[in-house]
Amino acid sequence: MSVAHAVAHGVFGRACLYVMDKAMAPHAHREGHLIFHIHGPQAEVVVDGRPFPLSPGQAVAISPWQPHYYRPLTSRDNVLVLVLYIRPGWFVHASRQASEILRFGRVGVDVTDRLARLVSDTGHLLGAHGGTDGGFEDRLSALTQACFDQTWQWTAEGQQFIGQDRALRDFRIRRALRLLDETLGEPIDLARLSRAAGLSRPHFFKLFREQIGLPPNIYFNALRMERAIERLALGKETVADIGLDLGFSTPASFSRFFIANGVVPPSTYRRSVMAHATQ
Amino acid sequence: MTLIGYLTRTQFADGAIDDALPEEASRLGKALVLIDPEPGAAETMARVADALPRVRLASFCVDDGAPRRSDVAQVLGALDRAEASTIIAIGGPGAIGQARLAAAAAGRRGTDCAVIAVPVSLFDLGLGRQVRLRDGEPVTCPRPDRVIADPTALAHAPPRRLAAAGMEILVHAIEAYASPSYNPPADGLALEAVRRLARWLPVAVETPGHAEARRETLAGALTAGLALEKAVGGVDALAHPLEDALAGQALPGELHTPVLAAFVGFNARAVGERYGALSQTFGPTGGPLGLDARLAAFARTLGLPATLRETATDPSRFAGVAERAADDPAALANPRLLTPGDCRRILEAAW
Repeated sequence: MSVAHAVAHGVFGRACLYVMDKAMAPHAHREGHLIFHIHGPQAEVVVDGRPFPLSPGQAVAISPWQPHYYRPLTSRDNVLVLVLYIRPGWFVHASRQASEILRFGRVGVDVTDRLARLVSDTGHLLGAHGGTDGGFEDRLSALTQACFDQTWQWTAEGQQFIGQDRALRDFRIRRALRLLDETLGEPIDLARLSRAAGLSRPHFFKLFREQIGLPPNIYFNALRMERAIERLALGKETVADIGLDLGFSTPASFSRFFIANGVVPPSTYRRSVMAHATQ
Repeated sequence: MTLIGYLTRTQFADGAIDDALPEEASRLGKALVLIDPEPGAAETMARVADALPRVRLASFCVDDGAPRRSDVAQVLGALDRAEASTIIAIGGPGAIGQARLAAAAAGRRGTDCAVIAVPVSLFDLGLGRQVRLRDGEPVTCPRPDRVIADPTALAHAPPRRLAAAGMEILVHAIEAYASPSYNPPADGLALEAVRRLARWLPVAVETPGHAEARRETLAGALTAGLALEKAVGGVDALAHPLEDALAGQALPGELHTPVLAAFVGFNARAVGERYGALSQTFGPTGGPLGLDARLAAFARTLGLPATLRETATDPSRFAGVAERAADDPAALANPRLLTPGDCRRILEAAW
C-alpha cells in the first residue's frame, strides 16, 4: 500500500511526500500539480492520455483540471515522490507575475541542477518539519516559479502551448457545475444532470468535455476529494462519517476511492496532516 | 487571467529633489538615508538634507553593486537606532535594492517601512519585480513607495559609466519586450523605453550638460523599469558571472551588449517577429540589418565594446561561466531553454 511520509497544508495548497506502489485512477483537480521523483525506480504519469517519465531528471507539471494518473513501471520497488498541489491564487500572489494563472506550458519538466537543489531542500524541510519551518513557503514558491518558467521556455522539440485559448463557459454547463457542487453527498446521476442542463445525455457529455476538458464523473470525483481532504484535515469528524456524507455506503468504498484518487487511505492522510499540525 | 499592476508614485522633473521631495517627506519626523558609492550620491544626499531641514536624518552606507541579504540585519538595526520608519535610498541599484530588501524584511517582522528612492544613475529605478542579490536567489520585493526621479541628479555621472548603465537598462527593455509572457501594457512600455534610450542615450553621453538628453534618458530608464513587470531574459545569467570573473575591470552593464547580440541568434525562433520590431526602434537603416548588428553598431557609437574580445574577458574561463550561467535563476527567464552547452556557444558567439 502507498504510504504518506509527510503532508503539509497551507495557503499555498498542499505538499506531500508519498511512497507510491500502485497505479492510480485517472483524476483531476483545481490545483496546479507538480510531481518530482525523489528515490526509487523510474515511473510515469499519464497526462491527457499521454505518458510522461517520472525520473531523477524528469518531473511532471499538470495544469488545473488536466486529467492524469500515476503509473509504476515495475512492481518490485516503491517510488518516493514529492507531490505539490498548488493553489492558483497563491501562485499569482507569491510570484506577482503578470501571466496566465498556473497553466504550465508543457508537461515535462527537465530537472536541472538548480531544480534538483530546490526539490531536495523542499522535500527535506517537508520530511523534517512537516512544512512548518519558516523557509518552507519561500522554497516552495521558488520551486513552483522555476518549474512554471521552464515550461514556457521554447525548445527545439516543441510542444508549445496547451489550452491557452479557453472558451467562454456555456451557461448550461455552469448550471450543471453548480448542481454537482450542491449534490456532492448523492450518487452522481448523469441523466438528471443532463436534464438540468437542458441537454440530451450525449450532447451534455460532449459539451462538458469540450468546456471543462474532462468527463463529468472525473470532475465530480475531484469535488468529492476536495471536500474529503478539507474535512479530514479539520480533524473533527470520524473518517466513516465523512465517507457517508460524501455518498459512500461503506468505509471500505470511501477508502478505495480515496486511494485511487489521492494515493493513501483517508485515515493515513489524516494522521500525516495531524502529525505536524499538533506539534 | 492576468494580474497587472503599475502602482508606484513617481515624481519626475528637473529639480524634483528640491521641489517634490519636501511635499512627499517633510512631515516625517525622522528617516534613515541609505546611500551607496554611486558617483553623485553624496552631492544628492546634501540636496536631500537641504530639502528636508526639519527631518532628522541618520545615514547608513552600503557597498557598490548588487545588495546582500546578509546586510539586511544591519540596515534594520540602523533604522531602529534612528527610530525611523522610512528609508530614503540615494544612489544606484545597490542602495535602492538594499532598501527594498530591508523594507520587505521589516514587513515580515511586523513593522512598516516605507522606501523613498532617489536614483542618481540609469537602472530600473527600483521598479523591477525582483531584486537581484549578490548572495542568493533573487527576491520578489515591494517597490519603493515613492520614486523621486530627478534628471539633474545624473549630472555627476561619468559619461562612460552612464553609457554602460544606460546600455544595461536598454538591454533589459529589449528582453522584456522579447519575453513570451503575456503582458501587453508592459510590451508597450518596453518598446517606448527602447525607442527613447536609442534616441537620447548617445546624446547624453556625448554632451554631458545636455538637459533634454539627460531628462529623456532618465525617462527611458523609468519606462523600462515599469516594463520590468515582465520578466527580463537570460542576459543577466551570463553577463553577471562574466563581470564577476573580471573583478571590477568592466563597468556595470558594459558586457550586456555583446551577450545580448549573441543571444539574438540563439533565441530567434523562440522570439519570432519581436526582434524585428525592436530593430526598427533604432531608427531607419540603409540596409536590412538585424537586431544583433544594430546593437553592435549602437554600442560602438557609445564607445562601448560590441564583442567580448574588446573587453578584458578571458575566454579560457568560458566553461566555468557557462556552468554558472545555466544554473543562474535568470536563465529561466530566457525565452528559450538554456543548457550549459547553449551558454558556452553563446559566449563563443559573443567573442
